[in-house]
Amino acid sequence: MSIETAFVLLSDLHFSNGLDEAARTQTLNIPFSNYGIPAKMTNLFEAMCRGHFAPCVKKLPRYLKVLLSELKDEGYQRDKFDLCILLGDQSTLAHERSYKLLRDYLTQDEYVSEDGDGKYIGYGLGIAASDILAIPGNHDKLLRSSLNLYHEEFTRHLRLDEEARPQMCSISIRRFAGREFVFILIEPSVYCAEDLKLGSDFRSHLAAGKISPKLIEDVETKLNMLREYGKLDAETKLEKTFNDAMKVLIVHYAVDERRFPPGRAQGIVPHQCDGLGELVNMLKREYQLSIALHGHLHHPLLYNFNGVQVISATTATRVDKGTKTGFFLMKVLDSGTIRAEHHLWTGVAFTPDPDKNLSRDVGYLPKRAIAA
Amino acid sequence: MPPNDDISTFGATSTVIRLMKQQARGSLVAALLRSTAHDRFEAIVETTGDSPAKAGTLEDRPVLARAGSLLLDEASRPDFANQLANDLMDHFGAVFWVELSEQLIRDTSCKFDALGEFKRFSNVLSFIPELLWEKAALPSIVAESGTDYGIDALCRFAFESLRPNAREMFKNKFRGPESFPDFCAELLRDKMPGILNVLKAPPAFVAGIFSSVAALASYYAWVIAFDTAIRVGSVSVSGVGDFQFVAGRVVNRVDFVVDEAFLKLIQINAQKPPLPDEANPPSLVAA
Repeated sequence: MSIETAFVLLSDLHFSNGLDEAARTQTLNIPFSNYGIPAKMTNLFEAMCRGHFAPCVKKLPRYLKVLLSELKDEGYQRDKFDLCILLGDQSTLAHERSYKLLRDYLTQDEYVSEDGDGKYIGYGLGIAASDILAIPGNHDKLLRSSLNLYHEEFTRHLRLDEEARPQMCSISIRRFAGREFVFILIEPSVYCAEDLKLGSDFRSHLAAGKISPKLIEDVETKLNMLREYGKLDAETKLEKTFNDAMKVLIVHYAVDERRFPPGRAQGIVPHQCDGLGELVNMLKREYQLSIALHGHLHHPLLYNFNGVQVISATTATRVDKGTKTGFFLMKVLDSGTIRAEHHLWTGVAFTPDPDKNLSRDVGYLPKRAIAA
Repeated sequence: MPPNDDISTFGATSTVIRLMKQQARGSLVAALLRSTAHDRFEAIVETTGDSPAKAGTLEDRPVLARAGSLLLDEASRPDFANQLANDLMDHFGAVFWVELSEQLIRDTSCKFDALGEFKRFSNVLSFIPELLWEKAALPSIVAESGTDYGIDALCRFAFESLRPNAREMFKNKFRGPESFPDFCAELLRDKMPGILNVLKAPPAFVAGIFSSVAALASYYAWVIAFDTAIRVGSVSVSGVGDFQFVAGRVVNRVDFVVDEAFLKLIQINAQKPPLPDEANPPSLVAA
């Protein structure tokens, strides 16, 4: 068995504004009085908006290089991962400085990190922007009425191909080692009414999503076109048939939140995405959806949702007591088997997760005769 | 990338202290939110217009500057100091061991003051310990010209008093080669409240001074705990390696057996060639 394709799934990075900033000082970056946030919510925001843990961020590029070296021992031919999928909550407070740090971290081998004490060299993941697929999470539009800041500071800066829009989907077709993947990226977040104002409806928009009829229609329209005509536009087109491609849903919110233990913040602020389960059922029934990837709840899990394999990624770089920090590696073997493998932050290092339930086969996609 | 002279470079010890000062600011926030001053701190948070664009320095943190009086009040409460000590120790191990791997990736050696030096050879990492217990006094980890030198002297004074009994304390209460971080937290809980209590700074500077105390006290607690645990027998750090004390007639030594995954991570990422194996010095020090 050799590995032909490898994706790394990074979720809920929750980047702060500075590399070495303490995760818990992010509360201080929120001007509570300006935003109309009452003092009694300080604890909630402190828990929700913690930033990345610097040692974790520093160790991840080093560990991914080790994994890449091990993949080569298993027959993988490339010097980089085929794809890096970001499952939302890239920034913890949707701030331009955090996106600048994240852009540098994701795409540079070395970058300069600056804080009040000086400038320092940081070491990054060095991933080409063309190899990144990203969707925003609820934190990427926290207390904002649109995704403008996220796109200006992240998507467009990196010139990512796909630009998520509220209650819309975008389709990305990628080919690796003779296999074709249709990635369906959806953005079902609920937004606040006015920029930087909490509002009385905060329970609906801080952490929750909702699948609207507009989103369903957009998904159906695009997938129907792809199935019937094999393309959406000049760039987004299939080499083979729709049936031959593996369909993968990418969404920030949990497909089935009942699978997860309720978190403290979830008790105060709803974290569910209304209608997502029904959408997944429809995508399975009508469009042969095989795999769904999500983040949001900071809980790694592999589960089956009415015939769809779901990979729930935890936060890759935030450290909270009682939750695992880590990420999934998805491998496609020459046999067509798709395997998910969880890797865990131990407090000192990343390591393969010993929990066998988090590393197993999640799909099968035989090779078709298309150009690699 | 900017010109090299724009980039600050520090040794491993200074870097750990700098990073722990940053972590300490977060720990202060967490400790205040869980303290008896919770409501008063929330009121400061709510009424202080912090700029979200700023980050990093305390000058950019008017909330913490305004919380100086609260910190002074809370410092005398054991719960507050315990919470702070536990929180700091949650972070220290990660900061310390990740910095070790970063230094060994960028260079071929990594020296932690008052603890010892790691060196990277072709197929092995060596560790040359300082064997703190053989030293008459705790060495300073801050230059005399440094702004924190006074705080460093205070921390050394406080922790010096623990050293004569550290071995007995460890043997009586802690078991196993992996327990030295718990011992470290105990040392910190024991000494940090006293240090914080004698500092009577103007409120606007309290958070900055407390951060320095937290970072330096954590470091001294760490090296004393590590040294004591090794003296008693061994230290095991999952994902890094095992340190075993071997007493000799002429010299004592510490054998370090590196974790294979840790060594592999450093070797694969190394930015400089390793030291040649034939120059591998014995990990010995004169008794």
